[in-house]
Amino acid sequence: MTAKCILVVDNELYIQEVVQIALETINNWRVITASSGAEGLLKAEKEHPDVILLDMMMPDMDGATTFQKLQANPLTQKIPVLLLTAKIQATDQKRYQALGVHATISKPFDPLQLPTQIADVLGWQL
Amino acid sequence: MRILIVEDDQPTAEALTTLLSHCSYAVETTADGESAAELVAAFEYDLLLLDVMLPKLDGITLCRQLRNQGHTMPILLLTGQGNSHDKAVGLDAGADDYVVKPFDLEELEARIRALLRRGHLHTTPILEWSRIQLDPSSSQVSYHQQPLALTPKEYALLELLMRNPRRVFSCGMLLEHLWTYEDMPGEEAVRTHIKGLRHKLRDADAPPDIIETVYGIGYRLKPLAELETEEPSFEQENQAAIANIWQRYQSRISKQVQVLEQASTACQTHQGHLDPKHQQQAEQEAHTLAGALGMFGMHDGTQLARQIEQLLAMPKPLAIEHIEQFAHQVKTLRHAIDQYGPASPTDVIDSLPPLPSLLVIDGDRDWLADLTAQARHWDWSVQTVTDLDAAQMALTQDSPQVILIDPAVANHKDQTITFLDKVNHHIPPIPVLFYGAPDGLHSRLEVARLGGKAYLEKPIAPIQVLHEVDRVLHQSQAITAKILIVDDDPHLLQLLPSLLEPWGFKVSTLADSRLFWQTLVTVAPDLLILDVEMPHVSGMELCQIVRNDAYWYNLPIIFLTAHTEAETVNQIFALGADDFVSKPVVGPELVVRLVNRLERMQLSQQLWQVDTLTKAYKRQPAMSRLEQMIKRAQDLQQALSLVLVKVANLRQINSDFDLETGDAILRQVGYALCQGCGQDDVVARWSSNEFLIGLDGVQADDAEHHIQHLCQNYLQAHPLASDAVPVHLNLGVAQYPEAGVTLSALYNAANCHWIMRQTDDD
Repeated sequence: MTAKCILVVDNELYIQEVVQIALETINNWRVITASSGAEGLLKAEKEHPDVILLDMMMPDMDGATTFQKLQANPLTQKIPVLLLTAKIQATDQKRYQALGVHATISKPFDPLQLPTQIADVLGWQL
Repeated sequence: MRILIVEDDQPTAEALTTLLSHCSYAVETTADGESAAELVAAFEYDLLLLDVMLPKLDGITLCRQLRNQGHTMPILLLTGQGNSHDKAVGLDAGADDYVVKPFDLEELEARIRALLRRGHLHTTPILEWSRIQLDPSSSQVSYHQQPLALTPKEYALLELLMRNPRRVFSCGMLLEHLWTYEDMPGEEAVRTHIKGLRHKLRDADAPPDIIETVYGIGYRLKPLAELETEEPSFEQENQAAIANIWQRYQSRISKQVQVLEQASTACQTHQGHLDPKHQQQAEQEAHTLAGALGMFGMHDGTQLARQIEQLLAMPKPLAIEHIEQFAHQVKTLRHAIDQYGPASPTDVIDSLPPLPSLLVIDGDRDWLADLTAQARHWDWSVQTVTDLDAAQMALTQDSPQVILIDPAVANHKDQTITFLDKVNHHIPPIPVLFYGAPDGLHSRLEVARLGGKAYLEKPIAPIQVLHEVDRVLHQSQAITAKILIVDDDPHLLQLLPSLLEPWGFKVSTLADSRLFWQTLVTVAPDLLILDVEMPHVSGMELCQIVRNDAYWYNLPIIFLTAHTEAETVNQIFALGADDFVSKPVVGPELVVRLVNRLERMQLSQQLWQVDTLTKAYKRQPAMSRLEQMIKRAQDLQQALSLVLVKVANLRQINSDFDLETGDAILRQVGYALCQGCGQDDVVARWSSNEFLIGLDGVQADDAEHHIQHLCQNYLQAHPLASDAVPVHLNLGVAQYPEAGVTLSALYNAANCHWIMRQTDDD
């Protein structure tokens, strides 16, 4: 299993922590966190993670804006982005896909299933 | 497993020996009934393979004789006669099964396996202990699905331990079970095989002590509860970590709900309008909660938050029914959040102990509501039912610790009797209290006949009932005790643990009285059972030794004896025995008698040992226990820690609230400490606001961590302490021998070395 670095961008600290615990049970998976869109952009550029889990609804800079800025930056535009979102209506789903995100993961997620969900979406081996 | 083949036909005996040795059994043979009887009297066998037609003493007579003598090992009859009468006679004589000659070897092997399983009350064909699996049909062993390549002796050793998972085997006992007496090696051989087995298990990532050495006694499988504590699965670790996040962020989540509460109030005040700031904040928090609560397993919370989010998204002003709906959902969410605590696998050992549970059967709903409200102050969970059918279901599903019943709920007396019959067969026993209309002696007599622990007359205030329940509950809890049995009869040593353990006793056994003193110090029993006659050192001599020792002199001692004549009995009591039980005793009778003796002894001890408010030891008896503990730590050269817990603002609580509130806090802290500490530990109420806890074999760091955790959990989780009444706990710790070698030196050290200090003493 190859080492993976996952960046979680969410303004709620407890959600960051749950994601971190859920994912770091997998050997060689390392989670880094950011509490705002701006911090997320910086860490994505600096750490170059294998995937970014991005919360949609954040104060200041929301998930959609953060995603557009990631896309506009040549250093981060190739990093796959998974949206973490509590909005689950079909129209929302289409809107997010239209943005060009890799996939969406619905909140609330089951922490025990989260690693499998991510690995399935990205075609990673567990 | 050791098998005796009794067969006079030599070729058959040889064929059987070859087959069974090949299956890793230790096999011995003999050719006549009389010598078989002698062998069984002298050695312990796990199974007998018995031919019916034998010289000197035939198989059926031998079988009957062995059963009459109390031997319980499985007996498989080998019969050449296809006569069903003989088979019936054989089974009536006490044989467990038979095979007809000429027999199929594979079938015989399967029958033997089945009998060995049945003989040890196992129901699954594959033996399991933690992650070890042993399949007797294929002789395959694995740890966590990883196959282990064991030698035949290692396999036989492991099988014996797994078939008797609670039993401690001395080297001598293992030799007897696994080798024939012709080829019996020294004890060193047992140690070598144990070492080899441990090594192979360790290579498969098993804990190194999964086969545990019980100091001075022998070997056993490490108890599952301890193994599971040490080996949490990924899922358990995950759940524990997530539960921990919930605890740490509960106040943050509570603030998010508070934003919703403020929005709901604003909405009510302004006829369904919300200012943009409230609106945006509330939407954000409802959205976050909808996305987050389910992560902690709180799916109802997610649903509620989602509905609130939808209400907030509706055009303003909200209609009256939506304003009400909003208020109702926020209130429900608040209640759900306050009540919720995600399950954590470490809860059992780390956090607050489970609350004592009370099942109340009464038709008076108002009275039940009053009682339930009062019981909250006592930290009890109460389940109420209004008829006996519901009570039976509650009994099966929830195993209450005390039952309170108004006999008037039954349609007929027989219904009560049937219900109580079920209760009386429950293990561990559940005390039952009756309360009902006063009608004199008759009711009391009926209750006593039905096995009730108390009769209370109506009308009665809930608080009085709770006092009575508390008294009965602690009487019944007191029965948990460590018992050391010293007897040279291996059958009895095997029988007594299996009889006593289901009742909550922790039983240790010793066959060789020469090892008594070291075993006594290691086990530190609450009660001693001694056989009168033993080789080397007799029970009477052991009793004298105990009574002459400054630390152990008051240990309760019960004798088991076949000699009930006045002279022996007088001699036993003169030496200081507390009681005696005559041999041979039938199993259930023995249990009832022992339980009764222990209950009475412990009750009388409790009257002067235990503080009635907190259920912790009183200072004086605790001093003697703690001094014993220090002596043991010195003898065994092991650590011992004392922790001092002080309710620092008790005086303030008493004056700001009332004495009852102060008492309730002391009772709750005492309960949290007593339940959070083990049987070997001592929790004492040292002064009006202090508890002193002695933790045996525990380093100061671990003691500090454990008690601090108990206290913090109490402070966080207890409604009285966390909301209404500010409770300040101070904690100090001292380790023997570093901080002192006497009790007073250790107490003084703990009183200076504060690891948690919430306030100065008031």
